[in-house]
Amino acid sequence: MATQALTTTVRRQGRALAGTGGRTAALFLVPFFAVFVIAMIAPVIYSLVLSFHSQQKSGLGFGEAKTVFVGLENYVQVFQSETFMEGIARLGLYCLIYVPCMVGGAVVFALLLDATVAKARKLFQLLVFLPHAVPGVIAALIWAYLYTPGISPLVQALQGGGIQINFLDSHVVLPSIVNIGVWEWTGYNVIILFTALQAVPREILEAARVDGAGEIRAAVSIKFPLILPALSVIMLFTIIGTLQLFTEPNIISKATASVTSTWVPNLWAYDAAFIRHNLNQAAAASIIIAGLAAILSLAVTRLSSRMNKS
Amino acid sequence: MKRRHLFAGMAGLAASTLLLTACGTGPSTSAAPTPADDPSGSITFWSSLAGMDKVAEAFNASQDKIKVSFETIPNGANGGYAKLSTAITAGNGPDVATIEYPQLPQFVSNGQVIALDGLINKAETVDKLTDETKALVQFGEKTYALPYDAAPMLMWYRKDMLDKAGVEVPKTWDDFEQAGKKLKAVAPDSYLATFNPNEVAASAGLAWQAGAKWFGTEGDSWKVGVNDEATQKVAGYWQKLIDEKIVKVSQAYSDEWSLDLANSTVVGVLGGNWSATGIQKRTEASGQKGQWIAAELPTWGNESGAFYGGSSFNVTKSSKNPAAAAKFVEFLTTNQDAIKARGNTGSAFLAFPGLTPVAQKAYDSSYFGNDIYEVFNKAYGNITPGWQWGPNWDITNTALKDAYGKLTTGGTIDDAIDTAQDATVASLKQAGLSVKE
Amino acid sequence: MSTPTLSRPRSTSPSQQGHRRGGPAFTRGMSNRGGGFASKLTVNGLLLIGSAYMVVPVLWLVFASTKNAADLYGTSAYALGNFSLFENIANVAQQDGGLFFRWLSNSVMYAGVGAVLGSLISVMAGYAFDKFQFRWKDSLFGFVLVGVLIPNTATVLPMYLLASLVGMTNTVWAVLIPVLCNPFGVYLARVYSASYVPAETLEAARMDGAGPIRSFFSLGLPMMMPGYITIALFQFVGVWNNFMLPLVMLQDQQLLPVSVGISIWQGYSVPQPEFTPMVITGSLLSIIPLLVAFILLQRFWKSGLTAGSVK
Repeated sequence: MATQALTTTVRRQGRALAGTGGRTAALFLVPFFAVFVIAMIAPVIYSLVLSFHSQQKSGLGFGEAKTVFVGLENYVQVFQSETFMEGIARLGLYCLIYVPCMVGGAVVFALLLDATVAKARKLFQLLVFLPHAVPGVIAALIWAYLYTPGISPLVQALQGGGIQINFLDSHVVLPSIVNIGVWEWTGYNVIILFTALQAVPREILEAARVDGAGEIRAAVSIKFPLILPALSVIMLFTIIGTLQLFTEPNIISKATASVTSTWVPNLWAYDAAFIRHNLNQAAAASIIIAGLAAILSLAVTRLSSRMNKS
Repeated sequence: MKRRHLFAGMAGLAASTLLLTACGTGPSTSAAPTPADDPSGSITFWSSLAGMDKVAEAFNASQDKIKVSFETIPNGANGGYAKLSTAITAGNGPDVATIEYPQLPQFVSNGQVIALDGLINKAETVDKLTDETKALVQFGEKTYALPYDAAPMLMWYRKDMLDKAGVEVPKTWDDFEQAGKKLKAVAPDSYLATFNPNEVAASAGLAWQAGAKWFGTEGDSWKVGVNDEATQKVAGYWQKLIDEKIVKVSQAYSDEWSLDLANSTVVGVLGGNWSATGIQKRTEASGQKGQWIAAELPTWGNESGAFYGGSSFNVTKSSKNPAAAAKFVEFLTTNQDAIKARGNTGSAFLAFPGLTPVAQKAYDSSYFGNDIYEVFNKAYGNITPGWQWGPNWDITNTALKDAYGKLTTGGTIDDAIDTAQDATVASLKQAGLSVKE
Repeated sequence: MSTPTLSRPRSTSPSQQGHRRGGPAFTRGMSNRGGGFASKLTVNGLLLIGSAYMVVPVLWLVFASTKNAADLYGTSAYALGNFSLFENIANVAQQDGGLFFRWLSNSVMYAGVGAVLGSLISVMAGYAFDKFQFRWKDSLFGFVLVGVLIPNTATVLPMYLLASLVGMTNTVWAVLIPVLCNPFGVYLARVYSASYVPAETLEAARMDGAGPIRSFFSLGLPMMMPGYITIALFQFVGVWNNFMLPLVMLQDQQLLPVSVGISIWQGYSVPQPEFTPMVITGSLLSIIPLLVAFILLQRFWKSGLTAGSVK
């Protein structure tokens, strides 16, 4: 038995056998890579090309536009744009509020679910996951109504208690949008963490209990460190995900003047393309956003693998 | 603004069927034959204005050479122009489109709409318009659109609240401020009007009335003056009104605004002729029938006014049958049947002479406390000449709207117009246009 | 993310859970000695509050759908007012000649094609990465991982620009082709392939003379079916939720998915408040398919989520 397994392994690692080599692989890989090139590589390359050019008219602009090579000029313009840089700063602020709230909430909820005294686990899991079944657009719409005085039970209840909050005011609108993200994503991550918690070996927990550790102690010192790998993956995707912010601000912007048309970088790029009709600048902005995503991913991956090693 | 047609449209749909059946068989006053040979074919027509489907039907019914197929598209605020522009660039735009005056220069400068000279009978159409209206559709000696409506900017007031405060309808902006103060004295929680951050065209209109020139051409350059002296005067004045709480900052058409109108927190509306239906819909349930009146805009001392909104019809570059398209555009803008076919879609005020009485007859203005069409006519006669829209209204519109977002947190209108000026000049220069300030 | 060590995705089948939870009585009894904060009341109370936060907005949507425009503003949120649910649904259905159902069917088409076809493509690629040996395997997989890490929205505008160049905007292909691309699916498929399809089985098939394509379709894919379904489910939801791509690519109202369509109605509802009940009811109608899918297919969700997170 062992020798057979050994030979199989050796054969697998050796030269490609008939039917498992490059040509067959190509058959299986071509569909995906074809789509990948069309949907990801080609657009990015084309955008790069566009971003180095510009459409220039002259005088009053009633004539034809010329396509001119401008090198890094578009990138300079994007970085010099106050609204773009504000948008990036705002994303940073969003991250600072969103990530702890959402991930923290997910961790706490998962640990609560995992507590031995928790009841109706299946039901709670289903309920907490429910928001994820709601598309982002609808979630944003629901919360937009929940933030609108006159319709919202929330605002009504607060007013009853004497608190006047305008959730769509420019001071409060960022946390309000963070809240939508938290609502949408916490449940998703609770399930991931909870399942990771299921993998914590019973023996360790029992040993802890024998040592007199209470539930909370066990949760903090044992369960939490053991789910760190899952947590780091969640952090990675969450942080990258914040760069995607588009839908929620887009919907909320229709309900309040506090969310401007360039509130986050994706909106800025959209504005450049469709309002200001400057496709070249929009291309540059998109490249910058994609680049930021790549840098962030690398950073977070490095960080988490270093953390995991320790 | 298209909004008036939109919120009028829903109310008017029920009443319009009778009118449609009636007009389909009546005699039509057609415009004189076009200089081009008898055009025919199928054309497509896009619009977000209410009732245009009926107008297309009426046109199809009245002759059988040209067949119009109509498609409704979102209005400007919902990406209608982005959709139009993208489609034209891709080559699959409509033959006939609807473009509001502020956006028209943009489409002209991008070569997306064609000149109508040679396709229309100028003597019977363009030449009959007032100079101010002509100026909205003519660029460099050519006519790029036929104007549909001409929307003079007006004030609407709650007469009963003015009476309560003991003031007459304000004739000058000084009067307006005084009226506001007196209103505050008798009704401390009320406002004489609202300043709407999402209605940048209103700011433009106010500046226009004061003699500002946000856009102009000097030789081969654009001259941009979103923060010129006249505009600064207007900005300072309205900021004072906001600071003195005579005017409330709120989004037009928002739930907050609608509620305020219904419960008399806001007793005045800065709008156009098209505001009528919206005001009626939002206030009739609160027993305000007969209290609202239309009035000319307060002035800075001399007779002056501005347009606030209004659309034109155009033939786009995508059109494969421009002659037929132009013929339909003529029908839309100068033919009484086109107005009749629309039915009751609000208090329309049209550019072409003779059409407005038709619209007036279709509209029930009994809700209001005075003869609103008389006011419209007077206001229409006092438009300040010399205003031009710029090559990219969207930039200024968006920049100013975004800047107004700061009004509730310490920003001023003056800051906003400076920001908008810088953004506009920068964007135009980035596109290679020649700009002077 | 390094090349993942392939491990079996965690299963959360009831038997496993029960085995752990239903342990010897003495352990459970001892843990209850935790007392204080860990008491039953606190834990379950907090869980209840958390779940309430998740559910209440959806509940609001249900109640709000039963109201007409006047009642929305007039009556309190959880009262019923004049029951207008059917009226609202009728309005939604009639608006613009049934446009809403066109939107729904568009969403189903885009999501369905993305799910079924896109996942097949991803599974084939993942399978190949797992089972075959070839040059540049690692670099190619590296590309896949890069694809996973680039956010969707960063590529939407570039895709639009390219589509514009070839004149493909405002067509169904502008959405259908991008949704076929699912790098995360390839990554997951590789994991599933390793877990569900033993190399021995494939070799036995090869001995019997089956070509690689035949063994994939008759052996590999059926064995990976749970994985395929999971990937397809994720892709379905991802495409159904996708907002920016169709918003940017499509102008023709007949081509829009329901997410973009409802946002357009929301825009209309600003000058025309009559649209508000339609936006609300339409939202409710559009989340029902997904909710049902979620509840029925919970198992696949959980396995997919965990497979992705286990390194």
